[in-house]
Amino acid sequence: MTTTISLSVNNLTDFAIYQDASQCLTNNHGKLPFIEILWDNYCHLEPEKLAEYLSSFSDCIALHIMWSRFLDRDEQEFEEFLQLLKFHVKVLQPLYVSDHICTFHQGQTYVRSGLEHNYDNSEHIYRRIERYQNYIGQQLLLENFASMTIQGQRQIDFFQEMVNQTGCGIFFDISNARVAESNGFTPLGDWIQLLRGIRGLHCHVGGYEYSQKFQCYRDSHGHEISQKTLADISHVIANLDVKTICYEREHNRVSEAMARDLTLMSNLPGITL
Amino acid sequence: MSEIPLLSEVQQLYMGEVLPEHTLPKHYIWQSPLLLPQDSSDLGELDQRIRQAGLLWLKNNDMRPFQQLVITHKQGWLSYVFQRAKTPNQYPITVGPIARRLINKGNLLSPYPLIYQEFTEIWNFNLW
Repeated sequence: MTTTISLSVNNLTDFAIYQDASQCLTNNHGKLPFIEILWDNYCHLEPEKLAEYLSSFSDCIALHIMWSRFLDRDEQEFEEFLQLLKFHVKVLQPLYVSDHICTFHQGQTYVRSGLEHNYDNSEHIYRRIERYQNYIGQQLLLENFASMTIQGQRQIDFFQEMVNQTGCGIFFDISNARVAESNGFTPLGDWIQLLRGIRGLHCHVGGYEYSQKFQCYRDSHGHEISQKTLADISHVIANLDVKTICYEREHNRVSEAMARDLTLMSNLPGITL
Repeated sequence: MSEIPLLSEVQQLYMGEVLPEHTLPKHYIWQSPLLLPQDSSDLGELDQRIRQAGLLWLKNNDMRPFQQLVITHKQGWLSYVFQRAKTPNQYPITVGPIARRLINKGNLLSPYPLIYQEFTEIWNFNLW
């Protein structure tokens, strides 16, 4: 298996930044092997238009979803979300669709970012994943969380059972696993054990930081890729069957810094341009 | 994509004192700044809340398939328009306050004297 790398184009507004940043990865035709979008920021567009816009990057599109709140929504809201997504999936024929096991509520109030799920009420989660997959007509990949709280102790066991119960896939975020390990939760090696034997894995990497406010490491999407993450990528590629690695940068979007990260990644053994 | 929520961050979203056990009506995330009753005759306060709601709408954590949001005062001559980017390298547009009542009917934004409508097509302000 050869591993290709690309980046996530988070939103429509900053296309030029991503185009500049990804020059080092483009082929002779100026295209990337694939492009991932954060679908949240594009779901208001007609999918045909979206494909046209993204064709300047690549003809192969992957959909990453953050705020679907697919475990939090009521039945009607879940249906509305699935209908909209299905329409886009049908037109875009994505390389993968990935989402998160997390919650966006604290009691009855919304919070500003996803919180790690407590992994209770597993049947509800499994039924939602099954419906999600059946609706879009393809396997759903679910990303491991950059654990910061005690919920992280249950994550890997839950993911294993979730895959067995629903047939979903794991979208392996390598730097999230590094953050979780740094915070005292599941060692990255345990994820490698779990993922061994799975063919054609899709992965994420991004920056993280030590937060004085929270007194732990957190996924920031705004910092350069760490040396540890680069070593982790090499380790993961050497031990697992990785098809793609997508680089995420949501904050501090500076094309030169992003290009540096992508160049470092592209020079790692096992990466194919 | 993870943060430990602080109460202050929840309160930032709702622009006021709110606790997790607080009973709130069902609402979209973008409506959070317009849920807790304040003095709605204070136009400065109202302006801040509408702008914050508009920014949240533009961010689209609710995943709404619309291009434009219009918020209008039910009694006063006051409206705001928020338009999402439609083409690459374009920025979202916020217009307001406009001293006009741009919509006559819409969904209520109780407890504030406001109504709103979402549109799948954006209005071209150059034609106004």
